[in-house]
Amino acid sequence: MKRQIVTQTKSGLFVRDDSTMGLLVFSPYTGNIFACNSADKTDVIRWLNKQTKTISSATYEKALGPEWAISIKESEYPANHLLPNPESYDNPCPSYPIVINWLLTGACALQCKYCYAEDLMRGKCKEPSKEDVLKIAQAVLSFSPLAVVLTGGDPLLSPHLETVMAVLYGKTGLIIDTSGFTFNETHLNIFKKYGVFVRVSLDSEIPQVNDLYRVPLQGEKQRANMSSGYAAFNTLCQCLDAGLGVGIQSVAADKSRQHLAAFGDKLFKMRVRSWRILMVAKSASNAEHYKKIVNEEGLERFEDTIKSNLRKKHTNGWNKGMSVQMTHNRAPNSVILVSPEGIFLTEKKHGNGKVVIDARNHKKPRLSEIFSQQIAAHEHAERYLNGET
Amino acid sequence: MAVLEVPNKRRAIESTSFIRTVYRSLLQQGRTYASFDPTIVGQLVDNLASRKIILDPMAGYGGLITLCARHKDPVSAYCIEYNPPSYLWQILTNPSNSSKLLSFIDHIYKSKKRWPSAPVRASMSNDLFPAESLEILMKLFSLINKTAKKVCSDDKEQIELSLAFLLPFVGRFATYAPGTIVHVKKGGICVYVDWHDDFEIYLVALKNLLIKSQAQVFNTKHKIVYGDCKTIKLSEKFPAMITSPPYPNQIDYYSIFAPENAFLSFLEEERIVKGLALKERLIGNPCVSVKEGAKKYTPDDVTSKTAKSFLNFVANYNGTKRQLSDIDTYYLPSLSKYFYEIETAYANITRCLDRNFEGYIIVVNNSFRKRIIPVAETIVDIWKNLGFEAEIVPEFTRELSHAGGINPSVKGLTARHMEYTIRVYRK
Repeated sequence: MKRQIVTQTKSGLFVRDDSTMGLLVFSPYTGNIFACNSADKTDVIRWLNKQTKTISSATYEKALGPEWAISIKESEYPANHLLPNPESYDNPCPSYPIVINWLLTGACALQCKYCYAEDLMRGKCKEPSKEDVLKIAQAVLSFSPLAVVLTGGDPLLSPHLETVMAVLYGKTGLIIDTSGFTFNETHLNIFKKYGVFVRVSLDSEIPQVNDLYRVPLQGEKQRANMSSGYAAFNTLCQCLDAGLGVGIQSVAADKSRQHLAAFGDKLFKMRVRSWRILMVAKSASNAEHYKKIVNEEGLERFEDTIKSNLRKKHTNGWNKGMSVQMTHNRAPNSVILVSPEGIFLTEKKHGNGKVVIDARNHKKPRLSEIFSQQIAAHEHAERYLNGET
Repeated sequence: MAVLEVPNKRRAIESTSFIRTVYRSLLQQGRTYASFDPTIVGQLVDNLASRKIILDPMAGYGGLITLCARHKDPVSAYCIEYNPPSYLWQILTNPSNSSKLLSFIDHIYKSKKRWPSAPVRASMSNDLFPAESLEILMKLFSLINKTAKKVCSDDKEQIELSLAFLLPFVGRFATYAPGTIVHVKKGGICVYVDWHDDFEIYLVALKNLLIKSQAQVFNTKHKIVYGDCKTIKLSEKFPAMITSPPYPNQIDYYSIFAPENAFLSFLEEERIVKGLALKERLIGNPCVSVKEGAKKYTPDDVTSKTAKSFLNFVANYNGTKRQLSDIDTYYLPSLSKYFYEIETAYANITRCLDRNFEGYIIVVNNSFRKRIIPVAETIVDIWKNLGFEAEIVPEFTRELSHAGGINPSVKGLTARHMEYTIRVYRK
């Protein structure tokens, strides 16, 4: 298969011409990924490269244009990110990964009760050296991901954060996932320099509720009494005030999900650009707390009423300024992970641990292994293009 | 700057204005949770209008004033209310204040450049108000209070009108997670972005409400008194009454207005206002914890035989260990307290009813463990014990459905409540 190339257009958005999905686009201003129908590919690229001033469809302009062609206030995000509409796609499956999640470090200042990555953290994987991260970066880039999510642990604790960003800059979209617990001005300057989209983890607007699940690591004496909720909120405000593209990631746990609609109103008003609501992913690391965190009886109510209320609120107002994505866990193997050691992994099909994508080439898997053996390709597309809705 | 324009077609107030749900309902519909139903109460006002003045000792949001104001015959409402935000809402919507308030709204709108700015984009807190919110509210209150001086005749009126004007917007600056309309969970984020726009939305909605109600008013002389119906001493004697007590459904009416009551308490601590920070619980509030210093009420505190019989059913309920524990620590004391307080309130009120008195009491029977809580029958009992005649009026009896409300899946007895209208009068 001919290798696909990711290009950063003059607008700042990243594009990749996917042979099966049409044109994939990532906006570092909004953190959103969209697919554009093949028939419109040429026009969209010309518009994104500012060779034309307008694009024929208002749907494209309002979803892809914020911050460079139109103001954020004029944005409008459809629930489903297949443009101009999902009906013009037939079983969308990408031929290359859309997003790769790189766990830059296993270090983290929090020990969240639902964390699915504990099996890769806190010394269970060897921390990479500078030479290691440069090699891993090349391996990641070889798959032409439209965006790379720097995560962990908490990537802010990696001594190689800026090195990695410098290598990836301009070659792929950059998203950073962080709790904000150790966030400082140095990080802010790095984010500004490399045009990073910042995704802050905050489960609830009520600090007491947020802190129930997102607990500082034991032994962190200086920070033991700090609130993860306040830290995340301060990070969010500082990034917004600095003009960065900011999104929020919330895990819908038992005590936090009942107030999500009100929380969403606040995020919308603050001008957060995107909001991802994640379900707790069952894994070996969170098995001890899983039942209590999830509360399956309440989960049913969430699925029946709260989710539908959130979709309604998105359609009736939030969509003008904030995209909302609700992920499910029906296909845990839709996510591509890279461990701190550079091993490419995914979650096992039925949860409960991770599996190496290509046992023969664990640090640079064969593409055929990625999408035909281990990764649920359709669900991979659904996850990043908000296909469930 | 021109006066505040009110669009011809009313737009719904969005949740992202952060004007609290209870006030959005009041501003847009003139009523909210536990308000009078004007179709029933309108007929009762018709029946009593010839008596010229009608008392409501538990007046809530002042539904009686609205109905008396719109009546074609001269009739006044005399309303007593103990929950400060409800009392202040009555002040705000009292027809005799409408012209004053309409002019007041335009003055406030014209001073838009002096509306305070927020120092930050947003604040997060585990309490009801972060420091930044209180700072903005104090500046806004000061501006409103200075403006009120232009339209008010005395200090008391100035303070009350200023508070009444500001209070529906106070929740905009609170940090809370709205659950249902009757439940407020402390803590959350307050967003200051675009608050000026939201204040304008509030002013437009209020102006709309006042213009609409002004158009339908015939009678403007009504009295609104802040007081506790269980203890208030009145010199007047009343020939008529229409009222509705709180329901025994464990709703704390004070907590419905938690942010507003917290703000009033703050103003009292700062010595800016006096006498509007409620220091005790309202009738029907569910707080019975002995740890909090509350007296533990029992069936012995209640006089009515009907109520006692029901409370004995509760006390002897044959349930699980957990159910029995809940009954002992919570349900029996709270239901006993409810009936005790209703008896005390009516005994006090009957002291100011004249020889030819006639009145109506509208009640809803809830249920407990699949048994009807006999509120209507108990009230009939209470008034008869007080020396009055009392009877349920069948033509106003109706079944109300609770399905689709707070709990969409309720069925059976819990889904249906009977509403009764009781006529009480001197023999």
